[in-house]
Amino acid sequence: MATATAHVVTGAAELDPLARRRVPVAVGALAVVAVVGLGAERLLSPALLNVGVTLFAYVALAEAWNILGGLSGQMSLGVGAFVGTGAYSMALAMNHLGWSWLPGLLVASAAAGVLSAVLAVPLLRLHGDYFAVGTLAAGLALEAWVNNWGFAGGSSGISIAVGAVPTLGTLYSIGLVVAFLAVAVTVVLRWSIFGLRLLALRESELGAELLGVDVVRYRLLVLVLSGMLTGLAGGLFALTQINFVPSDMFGMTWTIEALVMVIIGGMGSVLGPVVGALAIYYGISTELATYPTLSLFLEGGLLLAIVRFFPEGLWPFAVRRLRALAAPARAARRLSGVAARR
Amino acid sequence: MNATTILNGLLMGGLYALVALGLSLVFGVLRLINLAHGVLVVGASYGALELTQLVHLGPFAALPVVVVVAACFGYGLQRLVLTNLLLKGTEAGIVGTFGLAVLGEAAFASGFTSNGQSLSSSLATASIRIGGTTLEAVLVVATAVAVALTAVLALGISRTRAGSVLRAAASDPATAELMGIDVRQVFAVAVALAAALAAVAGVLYGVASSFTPTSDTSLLLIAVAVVVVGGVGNLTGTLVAGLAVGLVQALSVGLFGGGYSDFTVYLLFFLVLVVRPTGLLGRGAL
Amino acid sequence: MARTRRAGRLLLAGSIGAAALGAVGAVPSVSGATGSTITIGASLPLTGPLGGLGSDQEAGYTQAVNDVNAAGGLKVHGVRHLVHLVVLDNASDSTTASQQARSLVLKDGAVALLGGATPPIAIPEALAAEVLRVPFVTTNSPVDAFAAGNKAGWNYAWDLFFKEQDQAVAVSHYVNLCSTNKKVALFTDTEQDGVFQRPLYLAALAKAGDRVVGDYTFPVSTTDFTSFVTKAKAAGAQIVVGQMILPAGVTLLKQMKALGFAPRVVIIAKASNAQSWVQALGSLSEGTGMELTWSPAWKNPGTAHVEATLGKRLGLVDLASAVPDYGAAQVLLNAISAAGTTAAAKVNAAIRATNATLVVGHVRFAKNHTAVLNYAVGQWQGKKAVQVYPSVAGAHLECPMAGLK
Repeated sequence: MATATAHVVTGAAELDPLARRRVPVAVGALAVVAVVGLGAERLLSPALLNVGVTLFAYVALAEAWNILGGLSGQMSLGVGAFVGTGAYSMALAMNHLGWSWLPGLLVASAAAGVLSAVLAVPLLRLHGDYFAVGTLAAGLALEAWVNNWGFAGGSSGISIAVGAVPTLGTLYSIGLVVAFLAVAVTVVLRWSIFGLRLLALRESELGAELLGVDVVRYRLLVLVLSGMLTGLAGGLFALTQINFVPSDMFGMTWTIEALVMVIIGGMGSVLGPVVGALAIYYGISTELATYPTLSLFLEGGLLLAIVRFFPEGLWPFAVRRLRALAAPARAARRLSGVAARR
Repeated sequence: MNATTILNGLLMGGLYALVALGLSLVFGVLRLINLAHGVLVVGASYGALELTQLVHLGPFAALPVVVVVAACFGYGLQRLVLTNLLLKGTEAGIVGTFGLAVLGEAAFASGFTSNGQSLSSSLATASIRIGGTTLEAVLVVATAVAVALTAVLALGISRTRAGSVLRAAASDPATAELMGIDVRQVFAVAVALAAALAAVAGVLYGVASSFTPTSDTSLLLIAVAVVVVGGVGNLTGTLVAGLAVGLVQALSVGLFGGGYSDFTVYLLFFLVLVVRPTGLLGRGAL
Repeated sequence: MARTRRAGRLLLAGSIGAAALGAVGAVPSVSGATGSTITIGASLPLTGPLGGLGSDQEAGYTQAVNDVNAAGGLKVHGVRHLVHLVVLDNASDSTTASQQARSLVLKDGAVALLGGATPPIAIPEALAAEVLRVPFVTTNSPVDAFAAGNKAGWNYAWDLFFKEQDQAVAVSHYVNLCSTNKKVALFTDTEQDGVFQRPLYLAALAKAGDRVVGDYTFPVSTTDFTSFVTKAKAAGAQIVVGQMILPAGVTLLKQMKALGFAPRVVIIAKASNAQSWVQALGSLSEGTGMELTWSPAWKNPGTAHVEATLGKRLGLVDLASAVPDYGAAQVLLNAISAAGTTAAAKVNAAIRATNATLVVGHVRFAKNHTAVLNYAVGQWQGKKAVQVYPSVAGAHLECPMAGLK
């Protein structure tokens, strides 16, 4: 209920016929940011490049979860299945076929996309909480199986050859492109007619169906897109970690990180997951690593505070406040409209 | 494969069912997947540990205290935190209880260190002989408690006036409210009851096995599997599913060796969910 | 209602503001070791499943650094510098460990790294060090598992710990100190080291003339051993050898007792070598075997010193676990001192040249960048760990073990 309200507020522009022009403008702006970011690679210190790589990978991870959970209302608790598939398929392709990281990343994304499509057959029978639990079960089963899969190293894990790992600068550029892709896909999905139909689907599957939305096709498409982006993020994590065991890549941690980042940043918004990734990875995980359990306390507390006091998340809340400052009259009108709807 | 293996599998399943019972109740009544359920179970284990060390009570002497404290905690939790979240939709419930789980793990880690702990009791090492087979007494007790609690709850829900109030609040809160039922109070009592059940499970689990600050995750996962396999809102289904999961695990160990036991359980979980989303025994009374 | 909402918002807004300020204040500085102190980094599993090992590691590393600083620091380019140890908690998560290892070098300016416990944590950290070309010394990773972590061979990463084969052989000798029917039940989990160790145990036990009548494997989080225990009992095994984590080991012992399975000699590697094993099991732990990765009975130089410093805060078992960490830090600090510089290549060369008898034992790295330390087997006697293999004066094996009788 509250998330629906939040959408009416922050995404009111969707109803504006001019809004469709926002997609090319926003993607263009993102592309400019990405190109500037790529150009800046030589100017940045290794420390910043390093922060960038991990941050970009988390942005892609969070945005991919947002596309599924935030835009189409399909909460996934099995993110590890796609991260792991991406990481393992890339490592296997690099080790056994001698491929370099570029085709390796494409394989990571494709394999996770294929997994999504295969899992979609049973998963799309499920709705709401059941879908969430279904992704959880699929992820757990896959992890338990990979632990026994001798060809991929079983529980001893797998390594990418150190010589095949790109340099920090290259990793930064890869990360930037991956993060750009994830945010651009979200923009396109969120602010297009397609996105409007997804929103309808999220609020009520039956309602969307009555409006003529091909619900199964839309859910499948979002599932596969999200899977491909998650696999790409998994490939990037694998390139930075180099050696990993099944529980590292298929484990529950990825679901937790994606969920926390998106909820805190702002579920269903375009930039919310980016803000969430920045706040959690940079603000909490990195800065508080010297104080064991403090970051856990903060994350748990933040989650509770967010769902209790600002369910729409930090970014949409901040945008709303800024808009209210910039255009008090318009915002007041809109807010009173919201209050009436409540 | 012999009778002992099958019996022990079933008894392990009884412990799983006991761990899942509170989760099943909350899922059935509030339509909430309580991701903090594992923390409630482990919290009771730590609570009993603290009592055994402070006042030198045995874990079972500490049990009533732990159960009462857990029930009060559950009641307060629902009144002060969860009610507000549930008004915001199921997403908020999942995220909020997940936040509680994270806080719980952090609290256990800072209060009790990351080392494994266990509740010592003579029951843990006692056995019961039936015919030619030796059974672990603690698992027999856990299974008996699970069966008894399920029977009491199922009868209470279907036969008593309080039970019909609970069913009414669960199936249609808005209408129940109109009929003069204090739905918030009913929900709070349900969560209190679930926390008390979790506490019983936590003490028995702590005696039978051992626990660390992060044990809650694996307990939660097995409980979710059991609840879903048994059918949402179906407490008898939860008991049957618990026994089934224990049995399947034991059979899988016998057939394929121990390495695949997790895989078999989660595969069963996934297959039941997609083939029969209402669970093996179908949707229950709640 | 409205007031609480506003209060909550203010609180959150405040904390976000604080976080933002923190982030601005913490803009990474890439100063390197140009200050008056030399920075060494360590990403350790201080919390999570490996938390017990991680806190021993922190104690060992910190003590070694404190000892150097108490003596005036390290001489680099002719000037004495104090050493600053930055410890981060990776919560037993490999991905975090890998990220922290890179951040310690790039952001905190660590000139070298010390590793976190167990191969799944240490190998990703070592690979990060390898890519960044920074010296890395670790322990708590058995040497063959560590050596296998980089197929191309290590350049900057070094490991000193026991060798898996030595462990298997020592355990087989330990169980045969007791007179039994030589029938063994073997319990190994499907974690990395369980998988690695299982064939070695099988070979060593066979060589010692024992017969493995039950060979059981199971996932790491298993809480049900009843079918294995029933079979082992039926097969008449009098020896139990296991390799698993503490929660699994505690459950196994309880179920053995409950099901009336009373082997004469029991050793559960990994689970039993911490004081928490005794706390969790009570009298049931009496007479179980345990691993010692260090012992005062070895009488290495510096033993009295670590006993007087580290030993004051830690019991013998935690001390035995912390001394290899102390030793790893010593190897690194000595190498920086010998190199007279913090330049990575020179420090690395000095580590390679290490050839000294330290408190952990004699350290000399083989071609695969590992140095093999001694391994001893102890027994829990009266809640205290006593070394029984190799035998030391005044101690003997209690057989049959008392806890399961």
